[in-house]
Amino acid sequence: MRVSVRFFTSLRELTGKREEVLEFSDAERVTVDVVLKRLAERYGKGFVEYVYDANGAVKGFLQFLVNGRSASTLRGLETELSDGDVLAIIPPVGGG
Amino acid sequence: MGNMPVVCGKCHERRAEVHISYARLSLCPECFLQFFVRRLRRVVEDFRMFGEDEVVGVAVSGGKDSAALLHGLRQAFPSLRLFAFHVNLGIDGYSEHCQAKAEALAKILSVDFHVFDFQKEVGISVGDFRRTVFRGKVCSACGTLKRHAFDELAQRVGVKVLATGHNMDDVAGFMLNNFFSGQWSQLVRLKPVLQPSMPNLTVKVKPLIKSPENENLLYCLYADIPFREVECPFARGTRTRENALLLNSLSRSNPYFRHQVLRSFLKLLPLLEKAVEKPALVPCRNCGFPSLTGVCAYCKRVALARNVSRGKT
Repeated sequence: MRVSVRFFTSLRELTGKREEVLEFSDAERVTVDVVLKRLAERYGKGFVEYVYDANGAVKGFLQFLVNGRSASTLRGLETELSDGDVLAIIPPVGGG
Repeated sequence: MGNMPVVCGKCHERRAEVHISYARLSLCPECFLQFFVRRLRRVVEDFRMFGEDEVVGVAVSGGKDSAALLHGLRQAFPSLRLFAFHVNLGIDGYSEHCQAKAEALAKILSVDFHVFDFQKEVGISVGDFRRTVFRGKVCSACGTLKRHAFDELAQRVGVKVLATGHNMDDVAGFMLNNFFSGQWSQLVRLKPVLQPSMPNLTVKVKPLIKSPENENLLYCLYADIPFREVECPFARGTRTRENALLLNSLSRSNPYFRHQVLRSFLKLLPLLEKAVEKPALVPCRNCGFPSLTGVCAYCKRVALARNVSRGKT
């Protein structure tokens, strides 16, 4: 199965990409958490520091949209992804 | 995600990446950008904010809301004459970043960019207010400074309409807060079109009044608009933020809640306006802007900050 990940702002600079397509075996249970770990392996320190805090937890001010729906309204980092789904990593932004 | 829709509900072709929960609609980026611009245009027209032959100043802070506003207005009204106004508040490590983002956007859109720089023009910065009675709560002083500076820029350029990036969450939050605290005259000022209290000032319009904050962010991200990504160092724990948290909590079980608040208050405001006594304003003897006592709130605040920057407390 294939999952697309959308990068914006700093992550776009870090990865050098707007979008990345990740492949997983059909038997694998793919969650937001699993996708982030795969990306952390691929992009290393810069990605890890952007997404995770010093304790290894995903930073609370990042938003994750799965096909446009906030993962926080689904099952959070345990939200499962299916073939063709799009995960957007939304940067932290304060007031406007 | 299983059964969730992944195809855009509008074009039925591309992948859906934005979900509009209150409309039960999932859109691809292209259709979302069109949806956003169409709504912006409709709001301007429905509330008769300005005509396409007018000249409009846009208050651009560099943040996502005003960035989405300037870009969206350019898309919605390609022939409208626009000016971008920016206020540099002199906050170390922050104001420079904000101005760079605002200026970059204006350049992309070929919009004239005008700056009011408080350190250069007035000799103060917002940080000076920390050493005054405002202490940690500099936001209220900052709001007064910005309102004055935007009108001053509008006067310099000869603009009579000023568009601001207040989003639906801001306005609904302020409405609730003013309602609960009985600030009726402040509540009335949240109208989508606010006529000037004196003839030398601008008409203030809020074209994003029906745009939720998160959609402004998504508009900036998907339209590739430069906007500031750092938080104002003075914004922590402000009442505006507390309002946002309250609104988020109430909206969690009812995605339409903000719309309901806005719709109800927009019906109430004309009635309230008739009942609220308008203060008798006189021109400030220093700057000519409206005041209650002969010296306006802006001039009082500037004097306060100048005193501390000269070492008086």
